[in-house]
Amino acid sequence: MEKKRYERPHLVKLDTGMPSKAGLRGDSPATTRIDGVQVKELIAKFGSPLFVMSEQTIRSTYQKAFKAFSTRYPKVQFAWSYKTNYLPAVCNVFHQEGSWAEVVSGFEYDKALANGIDPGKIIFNGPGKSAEELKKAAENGSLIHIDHLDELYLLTDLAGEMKRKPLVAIRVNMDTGIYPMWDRFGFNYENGQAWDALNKIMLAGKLELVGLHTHIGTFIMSATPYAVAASKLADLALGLQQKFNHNIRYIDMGGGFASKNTLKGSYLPGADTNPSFDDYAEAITTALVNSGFKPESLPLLILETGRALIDEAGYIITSVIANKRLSTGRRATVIDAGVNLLFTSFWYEHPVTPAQGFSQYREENTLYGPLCMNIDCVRDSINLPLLNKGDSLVIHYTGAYNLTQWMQFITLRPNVVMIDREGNTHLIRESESVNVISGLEKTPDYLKHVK
Amino acid sequence: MLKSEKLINEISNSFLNSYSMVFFSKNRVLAVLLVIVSFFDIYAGLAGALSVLTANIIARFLGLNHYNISSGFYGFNALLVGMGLGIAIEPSLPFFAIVFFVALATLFLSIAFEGIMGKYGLPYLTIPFLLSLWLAELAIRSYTKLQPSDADIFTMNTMYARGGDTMLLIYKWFGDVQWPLVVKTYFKSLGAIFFQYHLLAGILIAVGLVLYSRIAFLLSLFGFGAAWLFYLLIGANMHELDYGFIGFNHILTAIALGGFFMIASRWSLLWVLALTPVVSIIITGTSAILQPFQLTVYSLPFNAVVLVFLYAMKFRERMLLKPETVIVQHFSPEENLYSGMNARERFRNQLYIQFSLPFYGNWLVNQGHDGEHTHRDEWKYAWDFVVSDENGKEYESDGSKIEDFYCFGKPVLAPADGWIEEVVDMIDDNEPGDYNLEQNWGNTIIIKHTEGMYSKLSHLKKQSVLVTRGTYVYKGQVIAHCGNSGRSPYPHLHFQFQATPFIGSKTLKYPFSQYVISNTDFALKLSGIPEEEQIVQNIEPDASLAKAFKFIPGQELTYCILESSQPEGKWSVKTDMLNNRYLECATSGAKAYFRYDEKLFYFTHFAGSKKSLLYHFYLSAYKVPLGFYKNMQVEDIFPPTILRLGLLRILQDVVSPVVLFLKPMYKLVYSKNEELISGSKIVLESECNLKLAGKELRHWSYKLEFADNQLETIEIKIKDSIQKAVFKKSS
Repeated sequence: MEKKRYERPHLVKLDTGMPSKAGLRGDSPATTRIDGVQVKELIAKFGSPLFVMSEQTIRSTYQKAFKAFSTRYPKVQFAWSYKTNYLPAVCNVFHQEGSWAEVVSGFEYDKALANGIDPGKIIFNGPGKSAEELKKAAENGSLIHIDHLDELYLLTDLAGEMKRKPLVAIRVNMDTGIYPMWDRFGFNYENGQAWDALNKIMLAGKLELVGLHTHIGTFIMSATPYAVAASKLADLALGLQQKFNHNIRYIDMGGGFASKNTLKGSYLPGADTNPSFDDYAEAITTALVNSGFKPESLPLLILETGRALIDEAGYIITSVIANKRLSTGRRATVIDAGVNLLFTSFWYEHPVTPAQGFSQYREENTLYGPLCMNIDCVRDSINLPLLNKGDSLVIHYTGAYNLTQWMQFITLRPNVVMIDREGNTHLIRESESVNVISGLEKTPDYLKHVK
Repeated sequence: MLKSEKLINEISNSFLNSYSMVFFSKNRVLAVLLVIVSFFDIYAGLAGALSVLTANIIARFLGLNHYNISSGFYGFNALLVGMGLGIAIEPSLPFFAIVFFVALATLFLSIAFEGIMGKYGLPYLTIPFLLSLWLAELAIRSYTKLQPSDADIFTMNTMYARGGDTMLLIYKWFGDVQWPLVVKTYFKSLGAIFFQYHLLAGILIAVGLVLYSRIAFLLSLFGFGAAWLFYLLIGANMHELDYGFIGFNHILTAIALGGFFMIASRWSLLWVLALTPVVSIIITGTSAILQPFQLTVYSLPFNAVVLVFLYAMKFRERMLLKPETVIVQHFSPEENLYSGMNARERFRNQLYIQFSLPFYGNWLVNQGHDGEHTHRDEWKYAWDFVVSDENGKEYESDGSKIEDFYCFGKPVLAPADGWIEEVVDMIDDNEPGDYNLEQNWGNTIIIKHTEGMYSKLSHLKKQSVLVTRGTYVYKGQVIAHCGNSGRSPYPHLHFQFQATPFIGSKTLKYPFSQYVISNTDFALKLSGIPEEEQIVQNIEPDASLAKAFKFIPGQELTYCILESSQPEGKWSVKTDMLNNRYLECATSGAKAYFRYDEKLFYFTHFAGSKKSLLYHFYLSAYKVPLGFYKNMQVEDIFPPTILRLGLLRILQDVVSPVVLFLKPMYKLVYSKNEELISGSKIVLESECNLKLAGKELRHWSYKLEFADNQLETIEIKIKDSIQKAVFKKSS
């Protein structure tokens, strides 16, 4: 029999077993393995903290999403949103599954090219594209989604000196009944800006209008706004057909699908309440199918969802640095992964599970990161078993945005590994060393000496 | 082409084809030989030629169909009448006047019979000739200026008078030659078709026949041989009987039914055999009837037997039974056989209403025809479709809710255009595992596609039906959602075809027009019935491929062949009277006929130079489904006529009614696709491969590259040499 684990003495209020207003007490089982690989081994090999990506989860999530759309609509294409996670290994899992690339900067554009994807499969979004970037993308035959009139004018000017006609779409923003309404990107539908832009493109004849794009917001917790957005885009497409006898090739519904994460302040867990791919797919495809396109001439449906495809595939393995008791008597635990790695902890209540066995006892706890900075709080309040220094925790649903928005702040960034479908572990980003950071730094000679 | 040149061309075509059409052919060599034979009796030849020209020119003048005129359809009856008169009457000016007017009459009779017989889908054969010649013969007896000819009575005199010594010598040599009686009679019978009861005439015609069609020649032997044996059996001597008309009726009947109107096969041979006594009885019988009028039967027995037989064939309920009727006439028994051979497989699609699968994406056939659960007895030709995941599971989590099932709530589409005949929409969906045996079909839609052709979709989701009775729906339109109502323990879509409009009607076995099986490797199925355990999806055309193969009449494709002496070339897309579309090579005049139906491109026929690039394009893009499915393989068989194979081909022709050993295979692989909005970059690889007894006789590989929605290059690999043609981009 295994030696019983030491747990420090503690006091708990008598629990009657009734659910509290926050629902039943969460007794998530320990996460001792990720995709069959022992967490202990991972720490031993790659250190703590550690980012882990599960290839199996990425692929099965993608396939589920694809099936949700492709059994409802004849032509579906996903485009991987680079800003969500642009590690080459991750991007290429998506590209292997058939995803195109959706980038929002010249940097991401170059990353996509370096990953080996055909430039014709890159969608270039975003409000901040430079003239050089536009020119490069247009000449490569990438799809440029125009965000504002100045970009439209710039591209129209540039088109004159190019060998091929730039392939463009416009981004449209609109009232879909949600708050806040995103109107800072693209051209507004309701006030006629969108038509203004479309007229300008069609009449100037310098750009080839191939699609229409929208992205109604982020972490949208209802599918209905997508139906509204899809019918508004379809309306524009059919209008183009009537007015200019011009058929666009695709409708890009953007992303914004919620993952299983729980937003701070939510009453119920996101895994239970957020819409599924099927819900989003049903809303979007029904709106398009019923919008008045002939069955055989439905445009290609492009989806740029990022978060919902990758969040669940990412884990952070972290270790307990210290236990503390705060002035109020409240328990606090300091772990080695803070908001520098887990940017999303500002808006999510990430599920956190212990990485080893434990007894039935729980304690209300606050999880702090290792930074010497007041903001560094991973969870304000979480029920956790009684942890000892050196114990490990697994933070779930961390695949989206953390590997792009993480900060080199106070500490260096750790290893990132991917577990493949056979259970082999691959290092996909090496931990940073001081030289990586200081190598870029330049010091004027007169400041090289402190004496 | 100049206008006069075109006219001369048309006249010469119509003239020559009028001769060869007597043997159902448009073969030039045969035509020239027949012209020569007709001039063995110079006045008969002249009368024939005059008659043909008269009929064709007047037909042209009247504005009859150009194709019919230049095919010789209006000329061959006149030809025979003219020669018949030329043989029977001493030449003189009034005689040629009579020939002219009889030819005119024959033309009108041809038109009349074309109208009458055409309604029944039957040819008029030589009926106009029979009527014209009989009437003319009867009439001429009272025209005193015309003298009956003694040319065929005092043959030697005539020969000498018309051809001099040489002619007489030739004639005598053939007259004295010691060949078996049966051989001599065969040749004479052939000659008799052109009123030349003479060995040399028969031999020349036989040579022409061999060059035109080995099958036709063999059929002539077969028909004659069968008749010879029959006459032996009944104790009559064929060659002594009336002047050889006996023989040629058998020969023409054999060619017509053995390989021209029916596809040559052992069954058509059997029918030729079976009809031999019938022809013989008609010959003797009608001879007796015509005796009092002193008229000969000519080709009456042939006409009677062939027409009655073809008419009878129209009453068959199943047209594909043996022997098969030739549907597209190629004017060659070989072409009829070879192109008919895999036409049923290739063009089966055209015979049926084009149904597509009633859903989007990949669905699994969970119960097929003759299924073990409910697809039994009267309802055995039905399908149950579900959606499954990569592990073969049909639901997510534990499947305790119907919403867990992947297919539940998914759109259900109309499989083809039609009217909504019946809708049931208010039956509750069952919980998983439950049945509703009272309303066992559950929510159902029945669509009427045409008379006697309905499709039925069942177990739909409650209140998900988007159409009402009487609505006209289009193929691919969403009409409802998949559910779990009726006798349905788990959500699935039940689909069946039926001949009657009722819920619960008996099922009908009928195929889906085209779909892709995607269990492991993609496989195309044309006109097929999805089987249990297959994962199937509709062909979703690749926009670029579909555009590249959409050749629009008037369009031109220019190419240049790299490292070649004749680098530049051009194809034009054209269309003919019968709405056939084809590519025509500007330099060689070669034509490649094709069909295109948004989901499939295929060539149907090639005619012209086998050195042209178009020929290789025909071979390389013989059948191209327009959806791109990675590594999908498509196979097909070329007709053996498509390759130059010399002696092997002749051997094949000879044995073709019985066995087909030359089967050039076509294979196409979808190797690469970079799918882009601006036009995908696609690579297709194909090959034409002929194997005989394990030995590879031909192996040509092709690589077709597409970009910017058009054909970019064709790479041809023959043995070790590689040629590449690059197409000019059209803006």
